[in-house]
Amino acid sequence: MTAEVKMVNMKIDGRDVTVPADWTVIRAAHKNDIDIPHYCYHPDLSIAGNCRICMVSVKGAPRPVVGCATPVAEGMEVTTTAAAEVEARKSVMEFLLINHPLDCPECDQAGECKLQDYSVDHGRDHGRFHEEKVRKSKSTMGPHVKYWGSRCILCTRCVRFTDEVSGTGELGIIYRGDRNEIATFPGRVLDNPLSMNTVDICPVGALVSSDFLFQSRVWNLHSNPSICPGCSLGCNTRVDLDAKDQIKRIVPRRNDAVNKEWMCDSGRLNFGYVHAGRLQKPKLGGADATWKEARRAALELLALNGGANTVALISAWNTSEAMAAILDLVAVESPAARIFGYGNPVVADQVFPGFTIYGDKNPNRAGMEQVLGIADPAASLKALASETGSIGTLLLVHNIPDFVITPEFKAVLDRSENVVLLDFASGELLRYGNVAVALPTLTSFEKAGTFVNNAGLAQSFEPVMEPATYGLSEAEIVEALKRDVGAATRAGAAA
Amino acid sequence: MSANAPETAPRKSGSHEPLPSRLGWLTRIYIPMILKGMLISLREFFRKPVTIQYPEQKPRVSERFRGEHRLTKDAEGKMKCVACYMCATACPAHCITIEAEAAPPEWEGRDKIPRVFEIDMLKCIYCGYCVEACPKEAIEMTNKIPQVYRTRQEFIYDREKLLSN
Repeated sequence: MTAEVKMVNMKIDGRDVTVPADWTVIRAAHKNDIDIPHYCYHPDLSIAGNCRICMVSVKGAPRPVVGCATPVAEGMEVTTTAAAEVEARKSVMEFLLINHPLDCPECDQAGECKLQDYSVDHGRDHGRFHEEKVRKSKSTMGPHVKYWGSRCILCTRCVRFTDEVSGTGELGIIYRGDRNEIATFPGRVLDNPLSMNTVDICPVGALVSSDFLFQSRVWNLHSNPSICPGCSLGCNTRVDLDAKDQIKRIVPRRNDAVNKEWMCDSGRLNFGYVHAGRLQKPKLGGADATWKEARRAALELLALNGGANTVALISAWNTSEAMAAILDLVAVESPAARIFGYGNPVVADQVFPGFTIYGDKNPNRAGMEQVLGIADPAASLKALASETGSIGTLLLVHNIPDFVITPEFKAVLDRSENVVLLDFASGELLRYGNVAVALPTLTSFEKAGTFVNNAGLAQSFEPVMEPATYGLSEAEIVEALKRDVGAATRAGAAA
Repeated sequence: MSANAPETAPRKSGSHEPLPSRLGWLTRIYIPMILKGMLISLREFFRKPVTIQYPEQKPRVSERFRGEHRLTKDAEGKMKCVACYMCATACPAHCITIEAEAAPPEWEGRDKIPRVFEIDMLKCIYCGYCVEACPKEAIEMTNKIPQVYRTRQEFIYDREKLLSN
């Protein structure tokens, strides 16, 4: 990054701006908070220059030019709101809408559609086209994406995405002229693990998600920022919830240091565990119990023999705050206990030209290294599994959805006399006979916390919704347990 | 009581003295007026009543009366509604509940229909905004006077009831 970047001075709408010489006008304008409408331009894709909505006037040029493909130059003077380009945009909008079906009532994009927005801003209030519109095909592109041909404005963002970012190249344009359509190549389906990004970048309702199809109108959703717990990258996300606080979809949020504007399909769809199969209340020996009873039982088990035979086993799906809280609890209650880590098994990274889906399916392995000093959760679990002899009390802080119990993990569970489980799910682990106490926790959507990603970037997040169960965060549980210890000590001293 | 207040100034606003009555003693004992009022009541006993025995009797209303809603159908008998939520969005009383689903594949040119379309007639204020908002002329108001039921559940009209209303 030491290479000298040549800068140029130019004027946009009368404002003096200084930008790198290899930028285009639209990028210079957006960087300086001057909006230029655009469909086909995307900062992370190559320039196509085919939608023609980003018209600007350059002093000295005989007619408006496209902002996305015009390089900046020293002394350039650009206007974005003068009569010439406004008239040009109005005409472009009219042409784009000539064959558009105007089926907004049935279209999932309505409410976040650039055609609607720019039609209000730049279009005319009535159509002058009286001939019959061209009707195009409707197809299923892949397992998660559907295509409505008539709505398409052929900006080719999706085609460029599959060429440049996913590198899979399933999409192309077929037919000619006004019968142009986007289609998958013969024998191909749009089934790459990044396919739903095409839905996001589609500025109109041509590509829509089959998973979100007809689920809700977008103006009935409210959004909160979050961090995806799906892998060690920690994509920045926006979680959209309906009025009943049910997660409806997860879409990426721009962060150039982490995920740009992309996200993998499995991360988008991995929220079913928040609303189903939850551990609703504390359990004591398999039966529902109150928090107070469950806490008392947990404390007794943790303090057995002064914690000499107690092991805390913490997954790499926990937030750094949760790990610190458990450390705190162990220090107070069973100082002799040993701490181990585990996590989802690491599989191979899926590398695409513009994005990598990491095989380390643990959001906070780096945080575990920072807080607990365990760099390799798998090796840590292996070390614990290779020991013999029984474990008195296993404090298991789980919080992994869809966890597959490995033989090593099972060996540790089998060797434990009593398990104190902290988990949000009412799953396979709970049916394990030796789980004496189960305390419900919260998913990362319901609590605040920090995940440290594989590049060492600590990303904090806030809850996006109210807790769906009677669960508490690990920090809250530990605080209550410590309060109980304090109360018991005071009672003992008084007696 | 204030030493600064000028002594000559009349203190009207703070006075607790009752205003002098302008009514005569006959009026003040009320009896003649009570008798007069009872006479009016007595006369009305022998006149034709202006009220009706609602809900057994229904008033006659104009053709443009905004009564219960109806979901309309197209020429082929399919419901016109495409579950766009415009009526629910426009509704000031939040009485319309819609859940969408994909249209049956044999419905040519249709993508979306309402799986659930409910109007809570107890919440509805019969303003007609839903009719104005509808882009498909799929909802209209009949001139049926709102019905009366014995349970709240019966006031929630579902899709089938609205289609046949």
